[in-house]
Amino acid sequence: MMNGMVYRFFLIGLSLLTTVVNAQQMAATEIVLNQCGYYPKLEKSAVLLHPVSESKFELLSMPGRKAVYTGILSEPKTTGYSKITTRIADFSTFDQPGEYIIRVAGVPDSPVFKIADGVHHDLALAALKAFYYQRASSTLDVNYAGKWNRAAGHPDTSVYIHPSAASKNLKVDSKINVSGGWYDAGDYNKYVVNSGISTSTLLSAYEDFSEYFLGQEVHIPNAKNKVPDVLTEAVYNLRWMLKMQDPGDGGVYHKCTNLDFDAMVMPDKALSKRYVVAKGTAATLNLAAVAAQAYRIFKHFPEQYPGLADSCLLASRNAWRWALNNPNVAYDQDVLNKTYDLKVTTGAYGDKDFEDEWIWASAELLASTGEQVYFDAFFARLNAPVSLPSWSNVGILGYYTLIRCEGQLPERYKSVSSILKKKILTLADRYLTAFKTGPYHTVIGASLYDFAWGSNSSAMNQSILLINAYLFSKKDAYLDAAVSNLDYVLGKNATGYSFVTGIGYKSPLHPHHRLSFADGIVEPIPGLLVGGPNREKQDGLKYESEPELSYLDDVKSYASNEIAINWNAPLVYVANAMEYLEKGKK
Amino acid sequence: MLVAGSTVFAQKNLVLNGGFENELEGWVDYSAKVTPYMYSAGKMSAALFSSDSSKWMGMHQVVSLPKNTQYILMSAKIKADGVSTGKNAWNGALFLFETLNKQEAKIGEGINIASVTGDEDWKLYEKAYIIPPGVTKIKLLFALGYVTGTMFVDEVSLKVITQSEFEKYL
Repeated sequence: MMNGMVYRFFLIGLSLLTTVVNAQQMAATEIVLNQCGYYPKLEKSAVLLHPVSESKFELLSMPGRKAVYTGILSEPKTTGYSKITTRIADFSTFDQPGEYIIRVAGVPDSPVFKIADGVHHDLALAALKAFYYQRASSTLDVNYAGKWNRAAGHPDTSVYIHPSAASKNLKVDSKINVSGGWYDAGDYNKYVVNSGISTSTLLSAYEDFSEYFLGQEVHIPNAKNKVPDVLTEAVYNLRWMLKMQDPGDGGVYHKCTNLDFDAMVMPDKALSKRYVVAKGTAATLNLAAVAAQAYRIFKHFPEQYPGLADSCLLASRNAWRWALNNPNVAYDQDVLNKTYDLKVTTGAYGDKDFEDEWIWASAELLASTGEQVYFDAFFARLNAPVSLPSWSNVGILGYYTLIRCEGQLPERYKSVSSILKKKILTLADRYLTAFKTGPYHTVIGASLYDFAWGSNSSAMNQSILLINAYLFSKKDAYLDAAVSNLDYVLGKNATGYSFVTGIGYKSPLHPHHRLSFADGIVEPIPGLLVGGPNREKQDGLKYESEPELSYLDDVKSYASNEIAINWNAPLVYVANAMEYLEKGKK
Repeated sequence: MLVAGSTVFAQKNLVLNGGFENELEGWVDYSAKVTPYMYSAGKMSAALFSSDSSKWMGMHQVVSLPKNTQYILMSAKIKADGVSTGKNAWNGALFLFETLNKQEAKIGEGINIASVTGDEDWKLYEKAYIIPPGVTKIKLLFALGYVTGTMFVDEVSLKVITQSEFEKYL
């Protein structure tokens, strides 16, 4: 993922390359809404982006334009951090499937939208299939990839040991095989810490909704072996993560990378030397967590994946042991570059606080083994506050797991889950308030601080938290709040963009994504969630001044228009979870 | 930090002389005095005074926990008179604690329960806490941490509580 000053140089090159691309911002319509549509039995609202004197709104059925519902617009709402004033058209009580427009006197009619079951079906498939398109070391066959088929790149079968990663058994410039895995983001490198949360989020989606995923077909290569596609795709990255572990000591390399970012070319044209770089505590605990979770899942697929589950548990235990012996090995790229001649300038993903990784890894190992040592490690950190997950803040993933696996835990450990639930509900209730009072009738956007790098992934992770709260509390309001953020990323926001490529009538055409840029195809690879509005604007491009408008559909906008696996994974979770859960609302 | 109305649990207060009725018995004191002129309950409280913001003026007590303690509630009433602000945000009239092992070695960093500046009447500060494995003692500290002014302390308590009582503080 792009970050830091190193991109200044990169952007100069990119500007020269983007002679054809003239990313023109599409103006928002005055009434913004979820471009995929709404579920009949869940929250439904649209947002007027400009103040109007009219207090009524109407739903007109299409194509006949017959008024079927009249509602009252909310009082004007202000954000507190921008000059934008909104009014909410809430039609949640109207539940008749069909196609509609919203009419408010004095403003143009809204685009046509649907109320129907399964409105996020295509999104749910596309978001998961996006991981297939991100595969490194693989040819993408036309039968599966369609016009986005491509040659394999970055075989990574013979990757150099960077001096920072050298050990007794593996000297500098010796080579190892770390093929496979997903490209991290707009770039072609592979980072264990970002892979960890991404892979786990897909695995968690399966664990929470396994019945649903068993029947899903995403049209990716599979062995017709009754393994759900979500697991087939997750295994592609899991196997790479396992290769990133030094079998000699259990430590895990931080990343597989070039020294510098590749040019904006297709993978088979990107031929820079590849390295594995420094082992670290964060990467190692990430593998401990993901491999423990994978063990729990793949032990139920012994015929399809013989030995995989046991290998995962062994890898997890070895990683845990390495981390116990090396509890504070931070990945600090600045220090690394001062220490070694081979400078690395790709994404750092540096992290110095490992308490959250310990929480997560201990929870996954506890859930998978029931052993006291992991309970003690988890319990020792139970005072720590938890917050929304990100690649560098993964503690709450362990909470989700222990709540999910409560039924399988040894009796003596079960009682702790009520504490975890209470802590999650505290956050969920805060989100619920934001949803009810916020200017966009969404959870995201209640605070200025929501608009940071990857804000759309925060929206999706908020929804995951709310869905988890719903799963154990059965309180419908959490589900309404969760779906409101899906509305947000699909168009009910100040920009009017659906932030998922290929989804909706106004979606990004120029993501900061080498694969989409270099393939010569007009449409970007579909199903990718871009970062979204980012008030910090680290790329120095010219954005609108309002925080919620600080988005550009421009390939150079790595601050708002890059894509990343850890952003798409929560989209996969939320879109698929909603498709499953809305059926229970009938 | 939790600030709540008084919640009474039946468990025993493990703090010795938490109301300072027996002067400073049980407390390791660097600079505290007891006073009969200002108190929240009983007839006495402890007072800490400082006119030098370069100093740490305080007192502490190490409390041994019963075996297998999992949840505790620490509380105290604090009153502040003219407490200045310091160089750091945490400077003030402080109520904090440290976790110790059997050998009374500190485990991890101290945790702040209250940091009060300015003038404030008697106010209850509480913190419910999960005892990590290996922790056998709690060191309760009160101090004027690099500020000037006067701090009064009374009704200091540390009680073992149940999980369900603990959850009320989440």
